[in-house]
Amino acid sequence: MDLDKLIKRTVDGDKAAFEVIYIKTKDAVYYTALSVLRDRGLSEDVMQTTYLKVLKNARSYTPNTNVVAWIIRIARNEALNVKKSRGRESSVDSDEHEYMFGTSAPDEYGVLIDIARRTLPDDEFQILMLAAVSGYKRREIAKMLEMPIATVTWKYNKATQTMRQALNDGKGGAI
Amino acid sequence: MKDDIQKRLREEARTHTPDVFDEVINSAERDGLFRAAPEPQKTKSRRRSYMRILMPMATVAVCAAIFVPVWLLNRPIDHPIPQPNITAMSATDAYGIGAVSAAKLLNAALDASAYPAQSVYRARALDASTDGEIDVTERMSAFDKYFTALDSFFGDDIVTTRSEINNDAAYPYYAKLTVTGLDFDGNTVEYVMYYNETLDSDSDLRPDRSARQDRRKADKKKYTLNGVMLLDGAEYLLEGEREAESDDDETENELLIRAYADPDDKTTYVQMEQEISVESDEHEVEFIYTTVMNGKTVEQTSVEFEKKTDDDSAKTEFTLEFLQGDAKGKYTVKRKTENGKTETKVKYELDGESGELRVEIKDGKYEYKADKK
Repeated sequence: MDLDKLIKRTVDGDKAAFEVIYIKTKDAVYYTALSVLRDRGLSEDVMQTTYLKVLKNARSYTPNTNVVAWIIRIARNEALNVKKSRGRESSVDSDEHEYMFGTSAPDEYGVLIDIARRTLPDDEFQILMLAAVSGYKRREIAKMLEMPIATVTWKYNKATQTMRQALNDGKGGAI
Repeated sequence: MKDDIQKRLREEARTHTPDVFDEVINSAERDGLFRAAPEPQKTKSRRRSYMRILMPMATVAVCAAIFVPVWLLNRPIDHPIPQPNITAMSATDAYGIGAVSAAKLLNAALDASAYPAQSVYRARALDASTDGEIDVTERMSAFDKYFTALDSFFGDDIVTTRSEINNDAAYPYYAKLTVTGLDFDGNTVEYVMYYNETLDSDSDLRPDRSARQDRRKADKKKYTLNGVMLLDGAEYLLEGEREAESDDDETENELLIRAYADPDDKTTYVQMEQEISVESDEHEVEFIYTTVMNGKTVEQTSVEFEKKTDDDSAKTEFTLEFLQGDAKGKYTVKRKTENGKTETKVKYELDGESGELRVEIKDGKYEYKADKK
């Protein structure tokens, strides 16, 4: 399904076209937000604001420039804005920032996703989830995130190694 | 392999990723962002005319699907169908090229680690300002290794693969694959691989999911490979996986092959991952090589390949990006054949430094030369 055509139909008010875009990108949007915020509730809020922005700004999307990359950029910017505003509200005590990586909550996130959420740096977590959950190929991720393919591959392999080590250390069942 | 982590993450995401569609729609409707879409205009008579065109085409397609494979199977084994175009490669081509290139790179990596002080090649370039020569070995070392491993498959020469039932009792595998190419001097070279390929019985099973939960393509098959590659008198254990996925518009194949020098030591290997995407008239091929020595990743390189042909010339371009520790670089190779003459140039970008060199072959090795200005 050509997402560029769907965005155009969304501009015309086609709800069904927007639903397809939502289905195809919601995982990428959620896990991009989670890679920044590390919190489910905040990431859900960012999902909503992201898609409302997609609807409001669909007219300004430049055709044939990668719809998914555009939506992920919106999600990441929304997440960074939330993180910045919460950083201003929080105490300067660095221990208060532990919530960003937080305590274990496997029921809320899934055992493996919870481990990834708590142990991986932003970019590795995002790349891992784009590949594993959304099914994007390395070259697609490289284009979306504007990174060299070799960097994406390196970070992806590092992320899976970290995950395997965490699992073998008994944090979520050996693999 | 990594697929187990991917599979678990995917399964968890199915039940743990939030769904905010209804909230978004409610907010959007409150803001007046949606209006009713126009009804489709198709009429009954138009549908009937489509059927008059589609039915005969479908009949032809069904007949071709039945008879063409029979014709192909009846071709003698000793005269394989030539596959000069890497962008249209079959699964056996992919196995052959993947296994040979991974084994060659492993061979090079082991040589370099065993004899670090030995320089196995030199690259020199003419210095345009002084007419003297400058040593570009360091700039071209990563490139030369991959170019050497892959170039015989990317040129205009015909590379053939022949797969047959194995009759050699010394290698307990079902199939034998012979890959034939050309060396630097134009002599035919053969590489032999023995292997088993097993279809994963769960690969076609897909849980029923609603359209809102399923982004996956319609048809997906997964195969497991194990075997051995014979290269320059040495044996390399091979393990791999292949996934073939297709829907109406697009076919994608993914292949992963690991070559081990020592079957009892799985910490040193070269891994090749290959993705081929065929969509309408566009063919893209990407190879990703990872060299692991004693459990530590020492290098990663990706190669993207594109071939274009017009009336007067055939152009091949591939881009190679690598990471080696903190060093990274990008090479773009352009090969052009016109009126029977082939010219190959490589543009490099390494940690802020860039340049362009011509590639020539001398004494069985590649030489890199800058053009005098």
